[in-house]
Amino acid sequence: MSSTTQTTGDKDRRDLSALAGKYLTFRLGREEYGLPVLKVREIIKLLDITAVPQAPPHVKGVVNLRGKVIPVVDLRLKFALPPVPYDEQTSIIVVEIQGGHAKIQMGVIVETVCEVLSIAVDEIEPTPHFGEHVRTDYMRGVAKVKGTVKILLDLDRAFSADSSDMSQVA
Amino acid sequence: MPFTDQQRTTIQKVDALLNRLGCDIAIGPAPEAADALRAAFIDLAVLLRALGVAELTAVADSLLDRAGTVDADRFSKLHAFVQDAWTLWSATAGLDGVAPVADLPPAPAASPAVSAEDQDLVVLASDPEMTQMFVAEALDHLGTIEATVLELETAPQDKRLLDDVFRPFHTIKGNAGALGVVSVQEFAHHVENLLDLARAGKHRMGAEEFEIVLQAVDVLTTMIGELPARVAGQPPSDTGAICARLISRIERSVTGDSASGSAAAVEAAPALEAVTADEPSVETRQRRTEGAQSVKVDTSKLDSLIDMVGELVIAQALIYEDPNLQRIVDERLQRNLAQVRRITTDLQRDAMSMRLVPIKPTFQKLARLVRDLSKKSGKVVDLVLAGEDTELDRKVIEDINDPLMHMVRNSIDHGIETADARRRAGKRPEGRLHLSASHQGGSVVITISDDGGGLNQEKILKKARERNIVAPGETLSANEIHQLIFRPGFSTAEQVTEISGRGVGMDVVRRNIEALRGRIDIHSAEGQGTTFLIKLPLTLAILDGLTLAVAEQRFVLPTFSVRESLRPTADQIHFVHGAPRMIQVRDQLMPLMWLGDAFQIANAQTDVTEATVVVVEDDGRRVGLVVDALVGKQEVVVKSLGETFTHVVGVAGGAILGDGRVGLILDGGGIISLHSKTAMRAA
Repeated sequence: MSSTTQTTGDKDRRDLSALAGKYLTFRLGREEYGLPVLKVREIIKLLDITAVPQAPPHVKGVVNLRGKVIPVVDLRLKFALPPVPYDEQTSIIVVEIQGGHAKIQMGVIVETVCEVLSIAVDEIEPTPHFGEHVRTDYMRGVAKVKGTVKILLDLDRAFSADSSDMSQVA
Repeated sequence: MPFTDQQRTTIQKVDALLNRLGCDIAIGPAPEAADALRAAFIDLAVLLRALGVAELTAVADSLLDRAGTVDADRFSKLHAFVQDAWTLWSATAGLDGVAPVADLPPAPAASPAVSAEDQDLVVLASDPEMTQMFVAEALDHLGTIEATVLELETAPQDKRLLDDVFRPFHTIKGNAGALGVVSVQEFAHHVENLLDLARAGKHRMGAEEFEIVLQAVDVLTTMIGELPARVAGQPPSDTGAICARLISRIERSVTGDSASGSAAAVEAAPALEAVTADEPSVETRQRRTEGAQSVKVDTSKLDSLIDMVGELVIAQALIYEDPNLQRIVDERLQRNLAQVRRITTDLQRDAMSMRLVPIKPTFQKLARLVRDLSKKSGKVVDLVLAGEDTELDRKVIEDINDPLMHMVRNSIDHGIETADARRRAGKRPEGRLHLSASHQGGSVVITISDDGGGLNQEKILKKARERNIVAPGETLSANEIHQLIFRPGFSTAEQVTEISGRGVGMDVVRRNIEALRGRIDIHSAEGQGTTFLIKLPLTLAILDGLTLAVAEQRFVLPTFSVRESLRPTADQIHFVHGAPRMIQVRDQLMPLMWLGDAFQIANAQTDVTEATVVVVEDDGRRVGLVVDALVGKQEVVVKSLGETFTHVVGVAGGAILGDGRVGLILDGGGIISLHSKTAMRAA
């Protein structure tokens, strides 16, 4: 485990310069995260979610996005944070990720959407080790901007895993 | 006289045009053809001018001036002109005779084809769009030819059918020529020669000729189908040898004819005329108009249009049912709203119908299959088609093709007996296969019916016992025995023949049909034949369903998996292990399944006598599905939930309901297997 994390870290260091760019940042509890804006399609208010049975707890169900049926995922649950009730601030970030066959749209439920930030390469550091119990495979790196730390997410890795999550359940 | 490449291309275009004009004119004056002729003449004049054939250009120009109105008289003039143009062109191009390649020795036809390889792609490589159009059009034509040849086989005297075979062949040749696809042009030319002789009454179309034409269609389909790949740099498949063989067969057929068959041909000629005399070209005219009135559209555009219309319908419903708007007492507003609603509904119906295509091409493919199989197996089989114009969803038609092929194979291989066996059984020696399609309510019913030996119940039962599908001592009804052939790994074919019995069985057929939300039934009487009835939905995009409520959630259950629904009374419910687990509907007992439990929905109705029970049936299994209430019956547009949810059992997709929320579409079979799984876990 630690050796694979090490290689991921090495790879990240090489890729750091590719990470610089614009990020949409949002908050889950006290943590701040960044998504590459190029992956973001739109941000919408929380819609009526239709639960889908046999899905893992963080996959909340599906919503009607102007006639398209897209899955929505609660990021807090995905990252094993305790659930909080949804409120006015709760938003769905619609992202486009690489699925098994084609690009798919997916809604990501977050507590608060913050801002769009330009992050320079010297603000980015590779993902540190957090020990064996913290999954870091879907973090591309961390950015230190104005004294706060933002975790930069690799969406394709974080969410395409949900297809395989499903197969484990079934 | 040496030509530059450009001139050569131009010459080929002239060749093609003259060819086509000759053909159109010979077939007769059709007013609709005038425009096409005019356009062709303009092209011709331009080309001739480019080639510097001055005398002809002048004639062409003057004809062009008057080509607007084409009557019989003008046609004969045009015909004469085209003949002249031909002769002159042949001389100019340095080729002799009307048929530039006919004089080639038949066997080494492969060698000019090889040397022509490079030429094939000269024009095509520069214009991928044109290539695509040519390929699509030519394949279309080949399909038509194939179907018409089959028709012609049963009525070889019908000159109109012969024309219908000749014309598209000619068009393919002409277009191939215009685009410089020499190999196709040359080969098509040989076949066209044969057909031309037949049209002129100089040669009779017999079994050999039909065979040649059909095989030529196959070869051309391969040659033309692979053109885009060749342009992309892939080597062509080796069709040269087959072409050469077919060409030599044509030669033999034609020359053999002049020795022995001419008398027969002369005698056949007046008969041909007789058929032509009545109703010269009504059908031709009809087809041309049909062609002019249809447009080819990219399917993805069509799908997107249908999606948008679906959205419009929902948006319209949201507005129409808006409580604030409904409160406004304004007659004009209400009238306008109703008008919008009506238009939207019409629009949706029309948009949906655009996905529907006739089943005819599929039937035509089957006709060819029947013909080939009956040749191969030595059984004479008459195919009777009905309802070829029945329309179905494009996707359904694509997916039903293989199962139908398989069943037709089965019918001929296992169903219909040999002529001897039939005679012994006191039947006509020719087997008969009925294929029909028809609309029945919101479904399409396809039947495949043969008058063969029927299903042998004894043999089926014996086999099923051998394979442990049926327990020894178990008695089954006739229908239950028939159903056994749909079990996986079941085949009663005593020997594996070339035609069928390769391990793909009726179970695959049934699975394919069920995947299309269809159903298959058998009726069979031993010694009299077997009928398969396939019931398919008109379209996969719309589903007719019951809307069910469990707590706040709404579900759509397809009506085809619903037997009935009822509010159970206490005495219908039976307790097992302290919980209500069974329901008796009339004299049938079935397990109860709480949808709320299965899908872990909070606040679902727990008192079964306050709930509604929907009897769900799939594959002979039934469960009583307990839901809070039945909300209504509606047609919904089916949406996929995407790859994230492919593993969810019991859910077939999503539908956007009238309030804009997503309702899950239940899958009857999945629900029942979900029940047996949880029941097993509970036990």
